[in-house]
Amino acid sequence: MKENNNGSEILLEISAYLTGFEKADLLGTGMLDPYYRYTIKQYVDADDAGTLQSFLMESKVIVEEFGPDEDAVINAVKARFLPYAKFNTLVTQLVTMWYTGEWNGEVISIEGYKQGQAYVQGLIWDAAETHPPGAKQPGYGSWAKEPINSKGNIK
Amino acid sequence: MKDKEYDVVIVGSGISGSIMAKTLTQAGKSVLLLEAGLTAGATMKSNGSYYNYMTYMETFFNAAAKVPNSPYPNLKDAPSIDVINIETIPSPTEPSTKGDYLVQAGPLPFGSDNWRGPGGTTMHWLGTTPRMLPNDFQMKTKYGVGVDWPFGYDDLKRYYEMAELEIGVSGNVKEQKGPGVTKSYYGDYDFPMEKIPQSYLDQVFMKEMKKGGDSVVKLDGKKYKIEFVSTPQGRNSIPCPEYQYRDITWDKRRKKLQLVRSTATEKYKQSGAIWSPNVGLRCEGNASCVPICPVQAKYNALKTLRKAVGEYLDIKTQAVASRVLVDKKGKKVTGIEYKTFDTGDDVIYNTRVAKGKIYVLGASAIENAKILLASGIANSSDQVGRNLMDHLVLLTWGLLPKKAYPYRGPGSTTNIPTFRDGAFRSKHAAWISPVDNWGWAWPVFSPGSDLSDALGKDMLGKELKNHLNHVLTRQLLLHFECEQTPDPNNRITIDEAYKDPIGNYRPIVHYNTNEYMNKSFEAAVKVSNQIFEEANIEDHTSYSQELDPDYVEYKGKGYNFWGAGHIVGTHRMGTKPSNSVVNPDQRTWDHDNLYLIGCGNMPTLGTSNPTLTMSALTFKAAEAILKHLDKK
Amino acid sequence: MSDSYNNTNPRRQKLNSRLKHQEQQAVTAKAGLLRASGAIKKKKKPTLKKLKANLQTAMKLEHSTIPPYLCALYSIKEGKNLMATEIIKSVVIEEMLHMVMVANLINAIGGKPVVGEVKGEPFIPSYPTPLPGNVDPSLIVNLTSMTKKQIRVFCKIEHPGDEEREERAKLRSIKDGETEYASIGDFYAAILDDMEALEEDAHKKGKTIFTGKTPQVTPEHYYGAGGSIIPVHNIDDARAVIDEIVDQGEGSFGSIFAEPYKEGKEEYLWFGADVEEYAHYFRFKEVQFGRFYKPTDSAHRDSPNRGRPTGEEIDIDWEEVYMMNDNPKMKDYPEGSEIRKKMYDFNKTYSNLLDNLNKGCNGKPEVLREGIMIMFDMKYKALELMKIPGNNGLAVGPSFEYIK
Repeated sequence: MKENNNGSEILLEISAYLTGFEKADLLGTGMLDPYYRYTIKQYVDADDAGTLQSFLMESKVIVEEFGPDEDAVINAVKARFLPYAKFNTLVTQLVTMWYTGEWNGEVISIEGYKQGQAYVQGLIWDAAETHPPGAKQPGYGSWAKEPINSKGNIK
Repeated sequence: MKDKEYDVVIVGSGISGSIMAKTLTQAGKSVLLLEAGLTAGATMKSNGSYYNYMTYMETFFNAAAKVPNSPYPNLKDAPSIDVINIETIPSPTEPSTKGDYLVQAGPLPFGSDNWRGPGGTTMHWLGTTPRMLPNDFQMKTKYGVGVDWPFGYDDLKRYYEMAELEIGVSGNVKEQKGPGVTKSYYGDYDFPMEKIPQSYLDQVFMKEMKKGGDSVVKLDGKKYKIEFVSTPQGRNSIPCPEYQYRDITWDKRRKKLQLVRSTATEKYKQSGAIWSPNVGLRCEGNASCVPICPVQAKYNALKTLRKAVGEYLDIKTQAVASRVLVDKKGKKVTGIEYKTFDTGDDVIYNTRVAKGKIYVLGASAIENAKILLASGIANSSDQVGRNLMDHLVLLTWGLLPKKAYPYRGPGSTTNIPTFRDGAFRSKHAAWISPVDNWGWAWPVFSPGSDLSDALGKDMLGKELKNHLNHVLTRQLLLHFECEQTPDPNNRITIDEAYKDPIGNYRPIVHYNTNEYMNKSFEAAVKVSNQIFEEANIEDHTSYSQELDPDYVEYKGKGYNFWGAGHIVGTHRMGTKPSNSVVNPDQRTWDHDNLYLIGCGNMPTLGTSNPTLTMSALTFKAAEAILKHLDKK
Repeated sequence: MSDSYNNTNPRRQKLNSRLKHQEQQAVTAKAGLLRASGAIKKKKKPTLKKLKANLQTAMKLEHSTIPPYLCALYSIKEGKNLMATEIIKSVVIEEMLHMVMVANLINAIGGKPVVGEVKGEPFIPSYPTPLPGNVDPSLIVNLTSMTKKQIRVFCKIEHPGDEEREERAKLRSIKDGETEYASIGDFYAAILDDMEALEEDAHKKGKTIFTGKTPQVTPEHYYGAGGSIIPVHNIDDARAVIDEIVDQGEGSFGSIFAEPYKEGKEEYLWFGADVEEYAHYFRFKEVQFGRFYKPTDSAHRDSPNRGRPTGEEIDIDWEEVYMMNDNPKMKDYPEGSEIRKKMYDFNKTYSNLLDNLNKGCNGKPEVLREGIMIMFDMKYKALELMKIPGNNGLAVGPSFEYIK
């Protein structure tokens, strides 16, 4: 595991483990940078930047210690983060953000980015082997066949 | 323009108003169309309409709750009813006023909404277009329930064909079956386009059902064969080569609207998006029909409005009809008073009057009733605002034994027609059962709720992803859309205490179910249980007051129902002035030059989604108005 | 050309009825004009075999524009540059339509169209590349994002033939001893010329070259383009197809560029709100200059508006574009890497699309329905590659390499 001190890189690494998607899948949404900035803003605005910082530092440690063994990383996350309300909330928020594009029930909107893009890039639709309603449409008659986008398919 | 007198003044640019405007202008009549919504939504210029529609899309993407009205502007000066505001009625003396528009007096909240803007509620409708069954027109005679219509199915048949052309229905006539569907029901006829392919989910479900041969369920000691039918719907597919018609025209000599036959060179052509004739020629499977079709492959009323003849049509947007004015004798309508505004939210308005020979209200069942009540007219029968109806949608949901991949395709592509008609209708409501293609989204807000449930159980990483994949790809949702019967106490009223920011009344709705509907919930759950058992579906249905405020208890069991958005019956049509608001031409009994159009005219609801029937009725009304005008 | 399409577009109807009346005359005149100008080298007597080969080249030519157009289209950030997106999208859909219509031509004369790689014969050019068929070899086409420069290249690709370029082409063609065409329109003019000659010969013998038995692709199978697909059964259909292709590409008026500008001449006025379909060349000009054409704009280079659009502004933000590596290749990334895998997935999907088109154009038009689904899937895979950071701080980008 190569040395990594860049916050958004760490966010990417740990998010891949937390969501069960590959890093390239997360990058392919184009949302890493805006999500990183958005997360920081939430915690800075709540005067709680320390929680996020500790989370990222600890995530880096976990990934370096247990990666690339996915189960081991998840077990460490469960042991070191989930028992603590603040970190538990943060983990839930991060996974929800990647999966649905929402933060506390609102679609994330980031300055300079197309409104609603967070919704469109939600990974939950990939997990369901479909697409977000109203976007990434698969074409006439596609619904009468098995889906051809198999990103979420577990074989 | 202020003093111009039009042949006809129409209120509302939804499907009824647009059909009326198109039909009348194509016959050379001058029309003023008043529309409460924003000007941008009514533009027919390609670039303008495209940009405007993209703002709807963006609003939709960004909405936390993607409810039917979520993409569309809700104006202070012309507010829309929104399902997002539905809540339990606080008490019999304290109505729910959430959302600052519809006042819900209860005892149960009314569960449906509509949109007040260009194109009306067809902007967010699903597009399902079954016809009513012959027996639906004779509920009193056949089953001793409700009222009969003043005419029968056969009288409406040719208007149904016009409506199917106008909307652009995709479907397969030969596959239509179920009670009441005889050979002559459609006759020797094809739909304009081929059927929308039935979803993979439908196929998996049907296969599971048919494993044991014919699927039979028992209800009250009687056996019923469960059948599955591809659903006719107003969205574009492949044009049907056998379809016979291409247009509708006013035959001046015979005083009739006529379907125009296609020829070798002039054939039916489906309507694409309003901004480009090449976009939306096929449904692209966006799976967001409600609330918005991104490519406008689904029909909306703007497509019809666009076909109106420009030189005979003036459209006045941001113009909210507030009252119908009558002469001193109270007989003849002399104008429609409307309020215009600049931005929609500034609460600054001007009051004007529109003048025509004939006046037509097509502002939706609720708004039509409200305007009439506010004007104190057309109500010698005391029926204005009464008999409000909707389909009461009981939902059942479960997990299929194998992956069926919901959340894809149009909202529903298959229905079970088995309980649309039968002797049981003397005891409880009939229903149609669409198979829903969108998982458990409606009752429990899947897939978001599945994610939060899983996270609540500390699932993460591959385990989380696998779990979601396992659950979301197998979700099945069945509808039981039960027919509500007319009840004079289910009604719209007005009260000085409740007005909107520009001084128009806020509608007050009084609403309840009765034994006839509640008994059908009990029956529907019995049927659902048998279907789930046969198809090896793991039942996850659970009803409660918390799940949804439309909750009723019947014989010790609780049931939830949801509104279908089928708002019907507030100014019903009938045989005489004493029992109805309009005559079979949809002209008010009380005022010779005032017509009402829209679902408000329907005496009963049947089990079909009402838009197609209402459109057929509107062609009938347009024909009557053209005759009326030509008499002068 | 479907009648209904004419109905929705009065201006186009006018244009087409004019074409219909003068069809024979106009086409011959155009071919004659080109022959006189020397753009079409006086050749040996055409053969059916050579015609089929030229049509196959035409398919390659139509296809070769698709990857660069798609790169530009997919590079536009979501929800940005809405009008440019619509414009480029409409062009790409028509290019695909052209490709399928050329396949109809090949099938009509008993040939066998090939889409995608068959027997190792490459179909997708390796970018950067000149256009197949010796069409303006000075023009090198790259796979890259939507930049002003790239749109200028697109204009050149769709450029109507003009005297100067034809002259250049003529000079070069003499030098190279190989036929060269100044524009795509000229290339098609030469094909039609051969086809007319061959059919005339066959006709004299009481025969026809339109003997193909393979089912044609019909409008039922392909939709969403400006104009609908034309099945080919005779020389009139063939003419209609070529007119349609050239019409949509550079406009059916390539010759006006060879004439001096005349004030007030109606033929130069091609624009206006009621004209929904401009030739690709003009649509790209609109993107390039960020304005729509208006009805009084002239298409002619020497007109007061210099052939440029001066109408309503189009909001184009050249910054709202994902910047990709030029002409990416899978081998730019290590085997087994997540990026390489994503590129492979994209290329596999693109190859599946070509294979599907091949099947559709070789007797099984009904499979084109699935082609639509593959096309959408491919788009979403390309959009991912437009966002995944690759070499040089730029996005990876789709590489359009054929995978068996």
